[in-house]
Amino acid sequence: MTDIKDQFARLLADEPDAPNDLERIVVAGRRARRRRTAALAVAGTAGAAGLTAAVVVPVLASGGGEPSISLGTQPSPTPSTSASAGKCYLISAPPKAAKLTLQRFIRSGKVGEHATINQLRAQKNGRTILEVCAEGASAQQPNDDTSAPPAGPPYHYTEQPDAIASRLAAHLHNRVTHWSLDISYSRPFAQESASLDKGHPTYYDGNVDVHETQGYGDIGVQVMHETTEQVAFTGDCTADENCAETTLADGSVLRTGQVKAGPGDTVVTAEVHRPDGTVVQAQMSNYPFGPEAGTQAHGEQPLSLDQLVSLAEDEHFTF
Amino acid sequence: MSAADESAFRGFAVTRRPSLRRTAFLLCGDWHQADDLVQTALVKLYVAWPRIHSSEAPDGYAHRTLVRCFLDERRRPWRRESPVEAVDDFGTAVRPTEDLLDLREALAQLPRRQRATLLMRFWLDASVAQTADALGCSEGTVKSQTARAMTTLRALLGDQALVTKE
Repeated sequence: MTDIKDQFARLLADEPDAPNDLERIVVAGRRARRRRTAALAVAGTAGAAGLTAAVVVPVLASGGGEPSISLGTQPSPTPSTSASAGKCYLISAPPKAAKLTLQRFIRSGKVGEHATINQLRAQKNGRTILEVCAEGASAQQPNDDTSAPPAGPPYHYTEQPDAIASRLAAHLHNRVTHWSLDISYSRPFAQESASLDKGHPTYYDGNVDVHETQGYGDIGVQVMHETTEQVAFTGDCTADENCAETTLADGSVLRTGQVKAGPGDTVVTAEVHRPDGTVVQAQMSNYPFGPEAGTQAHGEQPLSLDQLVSLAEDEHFTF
Repeated sequence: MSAADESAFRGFAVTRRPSLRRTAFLLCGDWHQADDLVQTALVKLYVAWPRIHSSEAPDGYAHRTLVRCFLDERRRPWRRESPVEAVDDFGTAVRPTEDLLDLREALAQLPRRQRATLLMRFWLDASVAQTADALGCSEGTVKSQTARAMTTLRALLGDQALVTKE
């Protein structure tokens, strides 16, 4: 009599060598993760999507007729006041209802009874924005050394996150249509939340799919800052077989690379690290990212490498 | 994802990939398809990595994801009934019942969920509860699927061919 596990093991006797495709997996994982986090960020911005609604509903249910509030997990536009650990929330409410709204939010248990509260500013529509950081996460003062980003020059947002996202989306659209490419899908730029709790500036990511004769391709731009924890696509250039690094006249560093992301799938990246700490990553692929994803409707790479590099070097991609 | 998290993921993928690949092969019977399954599962794991890495054992999560990927595989529209020149290992036509089949061919004759149940229980050593959680079914279903699978295998391989250590 033979144990079934031993018999299973014998089936594996002819195991061939495993493919060396870890880079392919990581690239595909990054793209999937970016798509997921962007969707969450957009949902949070909309204010009516699942996560936000799930927070708001119990509050409203206990106080029918009270002014509506919107809660989200968007990172603070002023990193200097963000928490060093734990999660922070932004609460937008009419000034007269802010105190009551805050009390109800704290009672919800999401941040504990000893939450730290900062009043950020009044919105143009008259609403007050409060930043509430979870219990144990102490909001830090701007000149507190531990609140500073770990590397790079001091960083300050100069626009509202929504305005940055809109500006970046419009500029990518203009650049792509200027090349007479037919945009079939646009994923809006979203303020992504990888660095939500670390007090660092966040990053923005958006992309467009373009319809070509043979199928679809994709062009995406991600704008980051050196102090974000987002991992640069090209990573250690010397370790990537298709990676090249060039120092440009203004001191920026350009990295270009190409990775096979799956059967017939190729992703080409141009990434510029500017002296001011801004990192722009332009990426194109010969397959779609939006609604046509997974249909195997491969096209050609939508841009030449020079065109892709020009996107990464474009000074309008900044925040 | 932070550089530290990604480094941890890479380390996990390098060390645990062989185990995932062998499980995938036992599920599908084809090394190429097994590599596709592992790749799909690892991409899903990458997406969830910061959460998984800090909250539970990533190995169990990865294997559960792999099994679910296997069960989901044939639901994809482009996977349905496409003509091929040669069938894969597990697609081999059924032999006459008077012949005792080897385990590989016997596994091929099990429905996919029964095959997944059997492998979860006796290859991955998952408990009934863990298997039910991974497959999204009740513990009773796991027990009945296991019993049916073992009955089928014994019918194909002979009563004395298999024992379990339970």
